[in-house]
Amino acid sequence: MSAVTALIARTQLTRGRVLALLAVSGLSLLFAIGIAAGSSGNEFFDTISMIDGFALTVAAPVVALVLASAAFGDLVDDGTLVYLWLRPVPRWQLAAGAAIASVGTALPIVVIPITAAAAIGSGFDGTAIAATAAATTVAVIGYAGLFLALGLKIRRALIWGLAYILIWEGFVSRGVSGAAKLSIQVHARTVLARLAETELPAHSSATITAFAVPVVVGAVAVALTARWLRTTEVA
Amino acid sequence: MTSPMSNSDAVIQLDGVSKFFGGVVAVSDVSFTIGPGLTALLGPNGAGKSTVMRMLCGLAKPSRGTVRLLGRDPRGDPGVLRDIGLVPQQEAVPEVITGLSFVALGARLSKVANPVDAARRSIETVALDPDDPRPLRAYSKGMRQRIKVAAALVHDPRVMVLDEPLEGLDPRQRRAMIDVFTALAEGGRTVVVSSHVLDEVERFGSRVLVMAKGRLAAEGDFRLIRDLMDDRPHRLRIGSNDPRALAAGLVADGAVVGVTIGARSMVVDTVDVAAFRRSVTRVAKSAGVHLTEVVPLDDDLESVFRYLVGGR
Repeated sequence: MSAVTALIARTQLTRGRVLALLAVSGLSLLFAIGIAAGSSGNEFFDTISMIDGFALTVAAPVVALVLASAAFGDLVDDGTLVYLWLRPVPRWQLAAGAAIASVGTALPIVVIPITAAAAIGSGFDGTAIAATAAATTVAVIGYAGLFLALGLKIRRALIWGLAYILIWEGFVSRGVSGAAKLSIQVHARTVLARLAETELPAHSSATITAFAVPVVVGAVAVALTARWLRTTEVA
Repeated sequence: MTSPMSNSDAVIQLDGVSKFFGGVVAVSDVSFTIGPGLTALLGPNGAGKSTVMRMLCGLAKPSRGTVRLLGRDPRGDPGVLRDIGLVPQQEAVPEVITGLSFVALGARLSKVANPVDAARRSIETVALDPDDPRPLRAYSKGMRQRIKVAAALVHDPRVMVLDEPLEGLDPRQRRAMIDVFTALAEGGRTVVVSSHVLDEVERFGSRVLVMAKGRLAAEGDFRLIRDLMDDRPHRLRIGSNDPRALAAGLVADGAVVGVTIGARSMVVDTVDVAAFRRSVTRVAKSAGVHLTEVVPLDDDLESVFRYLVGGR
């Protein structure tokens, strides 16, 4: 599995992609500096709101989308999936290797700059830092699994993934109560709110559920990816 | 034409295999068996060769019929992948890694003992440098083709499937690669090589399968198929200042089996192009006709395959 993970991670991490995604995550540092410089007296809550409104809503899903959808998507597009598919490796190992590569590449790009932003904005408040690190990690795991499957199954996964982020996560899950239960963003927000001991709009109730659902969604998506690898036709 | 093979010899067996992509029939009711040794799959571009090769490796599922490789279903039984080495048609290889990493990755995934050593040996077999530090994106087309062959060889498979493996190679590399394929076949492996270049296939050995328009057009010994191709009527356009007089002379000489006369040229059918070329100059000279052109109209593989499937 490690050989598959290494190959996919190297394919995912093109220079242009890394710089663009670091720029997206790095925006949170600019926002945090603005919060710290503003001295509003409520830097903690402002920082948590920024993490919710930008990091969990934009940075984490977009970074996970770009990297995870490329894991198999790039190989399908350029015709090199055949070199992995035609080896006597259980399909779940290919899927798991790609999932590890996706989470392993997305986590540092999302969690490090955004957690640093939480530290700067909140005046190095340990609660804000831990809550941010946990919430962004949960979000990346859920999104990475989901977009890994999308990248294998659908051509132009980036466009469909962005549509999912905008329509489902950004609109439907906020307006429809049942949909919130299936929203990775809502669960990640819940983790943030619970660990930061603050109130945020539209977050679900149980902390354990908020941790578990994105992980389960990610795992189910990886299992689906393995199944689709068995049945897909390879060019 | 056909040379039936007993099922006990069959390493690869296709039985009534068809493949549809929507409304397009890529392969239609193809049946054949392939045993150990070198077999060439010949056909023009778009004949369905690559689709057949993908199906016999399990990369694509037949819409109808069955494919068996070593008696097993290559799609339903991933264990059989251990016995397959494929050189796919597409030029693409992972761009960011070195040749040694690429081949060693294949060895690791195929659970070869000492994968790096096996990768080195395999790369040396195709006359590349295993210590080349450049990533594969820096490789030329010919080098990419050879590294793909090395990756297909590295786990010492019993069946090698090579889809247009000589594309992009210079004549010296082609000769060397054909020697590699021949040695593999002589070592008891089953080697299937596809090509759309007739002369290339001749050097692979005697057994060929000819595909055209998604169907199996001919199967058997290359020399018999070649003879059949040489015996077919050939069509040429002859330009002259007096097509009518020239046509009369050629018909009288018995050099043509059919003539269509136009204002400044004519189209003739002949079964022996070499004899016709000798005849046309002689007839033109004796009739005082000035020749302006002699152009073969069907000297391409497409026409050969059209002839083999029964219609011109």
